[in-house]
Parts: sequence; C-alpha cells; structure tokens
Amino acid sequence: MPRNAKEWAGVPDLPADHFISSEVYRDEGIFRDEQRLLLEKTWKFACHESEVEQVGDYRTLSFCGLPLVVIRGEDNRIRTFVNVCSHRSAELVRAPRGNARRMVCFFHLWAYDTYGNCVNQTRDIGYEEAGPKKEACGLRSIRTEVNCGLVFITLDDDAETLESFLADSLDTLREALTAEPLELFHYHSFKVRANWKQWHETNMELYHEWGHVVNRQQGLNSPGYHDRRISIGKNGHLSLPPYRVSYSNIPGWEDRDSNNFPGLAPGEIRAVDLFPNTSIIIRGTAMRIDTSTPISPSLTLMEFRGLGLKSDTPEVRAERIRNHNQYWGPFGRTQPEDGFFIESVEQGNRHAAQYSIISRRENLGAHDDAALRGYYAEWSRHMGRPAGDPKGNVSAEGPGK
Amino acid sequence: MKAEQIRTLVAKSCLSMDDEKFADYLALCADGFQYRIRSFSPEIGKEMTWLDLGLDELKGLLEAVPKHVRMQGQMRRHATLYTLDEDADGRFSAVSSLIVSHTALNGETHLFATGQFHDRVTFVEGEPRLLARDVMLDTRVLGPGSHMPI
Ligand code: FES
Ligand SMILES: [Fe+2]
Repeated sequence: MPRNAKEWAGVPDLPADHFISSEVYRDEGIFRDEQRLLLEKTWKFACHESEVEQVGDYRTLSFCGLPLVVIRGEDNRIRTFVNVCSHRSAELVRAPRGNARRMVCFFHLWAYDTYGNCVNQTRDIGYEEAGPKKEACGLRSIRTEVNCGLVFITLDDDAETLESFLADSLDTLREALTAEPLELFHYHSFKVRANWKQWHETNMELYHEWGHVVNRQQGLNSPGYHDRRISIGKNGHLSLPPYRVSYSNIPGWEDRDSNNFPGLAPGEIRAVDLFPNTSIIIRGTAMRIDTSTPISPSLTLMEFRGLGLKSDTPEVRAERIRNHNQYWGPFGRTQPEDGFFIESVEQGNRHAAQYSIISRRENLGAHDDAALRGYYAEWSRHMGRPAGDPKGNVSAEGPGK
Repeated sequence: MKAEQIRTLVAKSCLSMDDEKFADYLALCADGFQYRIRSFSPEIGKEMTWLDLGLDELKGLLEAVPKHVRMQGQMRRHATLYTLDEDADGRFSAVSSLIVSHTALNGETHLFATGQFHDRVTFVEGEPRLLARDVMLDTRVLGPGSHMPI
C-alpha cells in the first residue's frame, strides 16, 4: 500500500537498531561530528608498505582535510607528517610519490630530513636575532603504525595502539598479507557523489550482490553461499568467512585454480571490512584494498589498490591483473556498478528518504544485515547517538509521530 | 589507398561502439585480436593494465553489457588518425588521438576520457582488420567507471 506523507516520514515499526535515519548521510552537523569524534579518533589505512619500500620513498595523501606525506626514514621506520612547510606553509612534497632523503621546500628552500627535523633554513643568519631556531621548526608528525604491511595513521595522539584497534580482525588475511612481500599493480581513485559510509556499507552488505549480473550468474543460491557466518569483531570490524567461488560459469573466464594468495584455497574469497572505511578483499588470485576520504556529506574520495606477490613472474602478474580487472578497476564488471548504486542511494537519502532498512536476519548468513547493525552500533558508540535517531527527534516526539 | 582504408577502419570502430553495434565492431577484428586499456599511474610509478581481452572474452563482455547496471546515455568516441607506419612484417601501426564524451539522458555532456588508440592493423583479403588495440588513457579518474570498452 502506498504511504502518505505522515506514514512515509514515520519511524519504521522495527527494533531501534534495525533502521538508519537518512540524516546520518546528509546532515552537515553530523558530518562535522563524524570528523571530530570518529574519523580523527580511529586508525585510517594510508597505504601499503611496499609503496614506500626504500629509505626516502614517500607517498602523499590527504585525510580529514590535512595534506600528509608518508615517508620511510633513514632508520627504515615509516612516518607521516603534515605536508606543509613550517616557514610560510607551502606544500612541501609536491608529487604523489617519489624519493627524498631531504624534503626541500620549493619556495624558500627550507629542508627537512626523513625524521621530520628542519635541517636547513636558507640564509639562516636572518633568524639569529629574532628566531626561530631550526629545532623549533620541525614538521607536524602524525602517529603512524604498520600491521601486516598495512600502514595506518591516526590524528589522535592519545588513540589506542593500532594492534589494539585492529584486535583479531586481520586473522583470516594474515597469511595472505604477510607470507610473502606484496606489490601494487593497480591504483585508481574517483570522487563518488555519495556519503563516505555508503561505499563501506555496500562492501559489508552482500545482499546487494543481487544487483550485480556477474554475481547472479555465479549463483547466489548455490550450495554454501548462505552457510558461511559473518563475524562482527571488536571495534566494528567485520570479517567474512572463506567461501569458494566458481568463476568458469562466466563466459570467457576460467576457475582460479593456481596462484592463489598464500593461505587461500583455489578461488576462495576472503574479505575484511575495517571500521570505519577500509576493506580488504581477496578473490583467490587478486587482492583489492578500498579506502575513502570524506570531503563533504555527499562527496567522497575513493581509492582502490590492486595487489599481487612481489615474486610473481610476468605471466603470473598478468594473470592476477586480468583476474583483478574481471571484477574491479574502472572497467571491472562489478566495481562500477557499486558506484552507480551508491550515487543513486545518495540522491534518495538527500532529497526524499527518511529511513534506510537494515532488518534482515538470516542467522548471520551472508545476507544478514547484522553486518550493518554492527557497524552502526560502533558508529553510535563514537558519535554518542543512535543511527536511527541521530538528532533526538524520535525520542522527543515518540515513535510513529 | 591503404591509409584511407585504415582511417575508415578506425572511424568505423568508434561508430560501432558508440552505437553499440557489437557485431559490426567484432567484424573489424582479425583472428587473435587483443584489446587492452592501459594507463600510467604516477601514484605507484607503474603502467597499469585495466582491461586485457582476447576476442572470446571481448565477445562475452559485449554480450553481457546490456545486462549491466551502467552509465545511461550516449558515448561518443572521437578518434583522429595521426600517424601510420608500415612495419617490417607488412602490417601497420596506427596512432590516433582520442577523446570520449558522454551525454547523459538529460542532455548534459561531459568529457569522459582522453588518450590515444595504438592500433596494429593487418589486411585480410584486401580489407583492413584490427589485430590489436591498446587504448592508452591519459584520464584515470573516470567516475564509477564503465563496462563498455572504449
Ligand atoms: S614556505 Fe617553505 S621555505 Fe618558505
Ligand atoms: Fe558490489
């Protein structure tokens, strides 16, 4: 039965954590609070350690509006600094990647070493009278830790350790991530016109596989698909138990019998969604890491990496890349579709919708919305408000009003 | 004469993809045709391959395209043949400059991508056929992406 305006706006007749208010995606104040209470307080995936393999290798990125540079120091430790010169705030390192034992600012040529110390003030005689001294001009350092080759940063100097934050979330991927050195073969980004949580939700919410023609062709009712049990761990991280996928039922594709990642059975898919916005997915032979950078409530920078093993022969690497691209990358069969899904959802949330329903229960099977409920329980813990009623409207007016 | 035929081949390859007449496109391909989309990433300092399809897989993909969720509207591939060289094996290497525009259902047009076609062309019974096409993309930010080869 169609609903009138009052019914449409009414609170769903569901348990309080089984729906999400659209305000969570569109409200400017909630977005600002998310930056302050959640994104600046948790650990954020920055890059893979192989991207800064040698001493002096750096990689730039931006997070929560801060321009950052990740660099491997002379002591082999990976550090992160705000990528802004201490003198008059010019951008310090100006390429997405490179190598520098000294980072020299292009404006007045002040220089910094890989530890973030200021090591040169051009014509320093000019600072003798009034200062400042070099020692007071170091770069702003950002806490950086590495786990299983994944480089994470946090803007919170008092945050728990990365190990404690991740808890056991990477256990199903540990062997794949660490048994052998990895290398990137793919990177691309785009600004998705959607709230930053949407992509992560879509990664967690396998029910949407009905929307992908490739997933439908592979059989969403095939034996075992619904038998695996998702597990929601500490701190809102989600782990998807291993599941073997057949690939040869797609015309032109072959099963992934060889060159699977260490620890994986042939063609096995494993996935971990790290709170709040990073996913690691392995489809047998190819690994993908997604992460996002929120720009505004309705705009998000998405970054996608594809990884293989450093020891791969050119033939094996080419096979991994082909396998990666069958689903993923800008010309993949499923990844573009996820972009269209969430940009469409954004329009609905922004202009029309009041609530999004996450009430599926399938005994923690693949299509159970417990994944999303677990995510929003953690979101609520950080934000100090429920996702179903983030502005206190319902509690003020009473349900259904 | 051959140059003119190759120019027409490049133009037909664009028109047939624009109009999604996939059989017409496939008819322009020689046996063993290889289609690739490549691009250089300054972020990882490597050339990337984003699509690498033999003829069979390309056919499978094109058949599935209409079933996919995708960007609605009209793509236009604008390719201009810039250089043509006859190789030692009697085949030709053709480089075309490429821009691809997209017009949405509401009539709004934006530039989707720029790059080049690096084609290898052979003649079969007097007709030019594509042996290989490498789409060398400058554009790496493509919105959600596309299921359609360029
Ligand atoms: S702003 Fe960097 S040296 Fe002046
Ligand atoms: Fe998806």
